[in-house]
Amino acid sequence: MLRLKAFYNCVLCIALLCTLSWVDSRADVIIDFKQQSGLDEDFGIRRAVYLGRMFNGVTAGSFRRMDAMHAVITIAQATQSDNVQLFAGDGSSNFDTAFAQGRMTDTGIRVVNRTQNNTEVLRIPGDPSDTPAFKIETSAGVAIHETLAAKNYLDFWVVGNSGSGFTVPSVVGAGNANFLMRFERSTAVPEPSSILLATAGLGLLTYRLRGSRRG
Amino acid sequence: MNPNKLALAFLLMMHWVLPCPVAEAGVIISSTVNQSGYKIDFPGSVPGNTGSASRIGVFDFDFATSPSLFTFLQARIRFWVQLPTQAEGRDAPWIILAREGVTDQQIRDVSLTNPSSITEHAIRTDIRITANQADQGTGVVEKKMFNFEKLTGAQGLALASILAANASHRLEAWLVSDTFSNITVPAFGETFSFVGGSIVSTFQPFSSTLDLAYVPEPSSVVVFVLASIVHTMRRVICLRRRNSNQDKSKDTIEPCFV
Repeated sequence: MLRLKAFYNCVLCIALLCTLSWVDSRADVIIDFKQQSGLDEDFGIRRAVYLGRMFNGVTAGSFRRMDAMHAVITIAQATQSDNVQLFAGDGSSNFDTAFAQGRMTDTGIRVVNRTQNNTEVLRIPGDPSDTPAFKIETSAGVAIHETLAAKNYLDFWVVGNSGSGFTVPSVVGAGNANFLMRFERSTAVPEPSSILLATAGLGLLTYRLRGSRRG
Repeated sequence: MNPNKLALAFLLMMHWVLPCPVAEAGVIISSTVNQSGYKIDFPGSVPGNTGSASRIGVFDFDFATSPSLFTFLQARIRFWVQLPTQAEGRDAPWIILAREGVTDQQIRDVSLTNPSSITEHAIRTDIRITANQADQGTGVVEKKMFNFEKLTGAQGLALASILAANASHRLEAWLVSDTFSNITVPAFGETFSFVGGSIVSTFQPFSSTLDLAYVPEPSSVVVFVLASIVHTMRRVICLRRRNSNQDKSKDTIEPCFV
């Protein structure tokens, strides 16, 4: 009878954890779209161009991280040798200081124009409608999400070598030059499957231990 | 009129004729082409700086006769460009006019020499393009010169030589900076909007117009000068005839036009 009661308690515990972890950790997508700033900085260390601030007022939620992303940027003449990187973090000016203070995180995305004689809209890693998102490293995903949790916004920069020749416009002819960011968020460590396995294992162990003592 | 007076009159006539308003303004010839988008980077003359040269386009001029007979006086250009906001004053990039097919090295040679330099391949003009804070923003905007920029005599002659050397009278225009490489003169510009959850792109081709002003061809000038001489001679003859008829009554004296 006691064994059965312990078993029922264990099942109830697992069910409760499953429900809570699902509610708290289900993956979601946040997306924002805005005109690029084009503010350009080059203090001799690197060349940084501010894209703009996004996700104003978006709440972070607990146990989450940025898992994957799509970036759509209007840019020209970014080459492999320019090493143009996409950063996300907190800071709308003076990138070098923000980076030194650890307020900027490298998303891992590298930006290279397809052709060097046009101002292009680059979809990285491809069009969000038909291309799987770019996988963000766990540490970077956690850091970006922590910034969002703390500030309720994210600032985006494209950063290349000092003196590099890429250009990021705010207008292109008659139209605005926009950028779009789409993040897929999922649970931060530990992920739901680990919680479930650990809980089930713990319950089973307790059940067996109690059984062996009485047996 | 004695020969000395005639020579003086001729000199005065030439003095009035040659710098006449028509010659000052010149004949304007235009060419509009699609922008090229080609760009090269090079080390600037100041250590640490990276310069760049962007080919705006290859312009095609429809001259009726050989441009080697012309003297080019002025030039102006309209094109689409993205400039850094610091591109002002002496840091503003300038326009180079070059023969069609000029090599990257030849452009570099002209770019890194003193202002208003001339080689057999290219001319560094005094036309500078500045980043205007009044523009809509940092981006690809239209730069349009409303006034012509004067070319020096040497620049005008070199331009005539470059144009005459090309059977199609083609000429390349470049935007060159010794200080900045983050300059874009694009062939196409793409923008996008986010409608109904999908990305919709729009493409805009960019074109450029180069205007050149030159003096009328020498044959016209010669005809004009000859006409002036004939006019002077007729007046001289008329005055002589009037002087010889001084004894006649005033009513019968033939009036001489001025």
